Amino acid sequence: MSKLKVLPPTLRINNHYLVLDVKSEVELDKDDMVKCIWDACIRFWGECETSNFNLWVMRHYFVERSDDFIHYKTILRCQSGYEEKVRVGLATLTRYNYNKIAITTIGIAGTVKSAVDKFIDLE
Amino acid sequence: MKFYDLNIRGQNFNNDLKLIQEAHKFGWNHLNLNYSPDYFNKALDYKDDLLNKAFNNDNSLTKSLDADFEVSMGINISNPKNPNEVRKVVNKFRNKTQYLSCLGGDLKINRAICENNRIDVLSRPYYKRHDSGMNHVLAKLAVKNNVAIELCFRDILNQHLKYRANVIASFKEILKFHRKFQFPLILTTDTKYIYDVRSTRDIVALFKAIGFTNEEIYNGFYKYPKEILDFNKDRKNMIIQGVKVVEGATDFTEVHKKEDTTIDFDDLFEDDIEDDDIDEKFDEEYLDLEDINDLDNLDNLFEDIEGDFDE
Repeated sequence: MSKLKVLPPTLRINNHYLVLDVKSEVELDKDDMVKCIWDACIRFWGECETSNFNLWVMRHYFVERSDDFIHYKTILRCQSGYEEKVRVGLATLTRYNYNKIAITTIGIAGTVKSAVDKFIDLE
Repeated sequence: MKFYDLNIRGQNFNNDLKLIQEAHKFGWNHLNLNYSPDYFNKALDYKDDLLNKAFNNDNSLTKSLDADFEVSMGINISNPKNPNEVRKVVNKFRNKTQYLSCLGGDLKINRAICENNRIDVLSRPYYKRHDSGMNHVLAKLAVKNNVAIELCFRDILNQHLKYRANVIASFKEILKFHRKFQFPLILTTDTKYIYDVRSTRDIVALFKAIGFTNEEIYNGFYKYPKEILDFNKDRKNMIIQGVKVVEGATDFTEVHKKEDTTIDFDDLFEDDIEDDDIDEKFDEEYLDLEDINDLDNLDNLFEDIEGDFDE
């Protein structure tokens, strides 16, 4: 299957990258995160509004396992101008597959690199 | 601006400690742990230990809390059976705590709280109701007696679909009354477990999405909560409503201090993304001559873009 040509920069959508702090009762891989994020946004904002968000999970890091939760950090791409709406949708998620989960946005960056440099400290 | 959360649900020492540390991590500046009247005295006993442990934590995962961070304790009268019970608890605990709130929901209790100027906050008047639990009569009483109305983020968090929509509708209705009658409206999280903690910016974004203005959010998280706590510090000096004893005052003491209220609400909650972070530089790897030829075939739609490429 042939690939579409990459759009010239002026026609591309501008993206920002949200850094998410994820607390979960059970282990989550990247695919689970994708489902969580889409589920949260569609549930709160509906299909029509979520179509503007241009969501894509770029990175997913395991941080630590404590007594109460497993801690992850995720970098999520979203269209610039919709960061607030995405973070609201994510903040209202409480459960995934009957397990507790809490997603909080801890930062916004213009590139994946700066998001990793500023907010991901895995020692 | 500081973020006050006047309703953190206190339960026991360990849980309270975790909530304090987590909330501090996510940007909260003042936490008020609320206990039931029965448990309040027990909580006061371990308050010093709690603060010592929270502020001098050796654990590297949770950095020691800074000096700007404050923790206080208050009472939340939950599930009062009738207005008389509310009155009894208020008489018993009013002088022992700086924060006294009562859970609403029942219309008689909502009214009894709004009529009682010794109660600080009517918490969640919409609780277990299909409507907001407020009307113009209660709103006027709340203004007269300086009783704040509290909206909790947790009610949105833990409800889904129809019920969540109902809660949001109640928030909007109470906001409408607040705009007309100007009673104090405070916003809280009612955090109970560690999974309920969200960052301040997330909560602000949610209330903005519901329809609150920057000024209303500022007042709800900072101005009114601070006024309530400051007022209660002076409450023992209040002789009657509107008259208080100023200790050590002379003829030249300025009793009323005017605060500087020039706050730019437009930019209050804007994100600071540095310009050099944003990847808007021209990316040469994607530019080839074929792209330009393709664009030539489009009916002058992308003339500006061609101009950019030619440059």
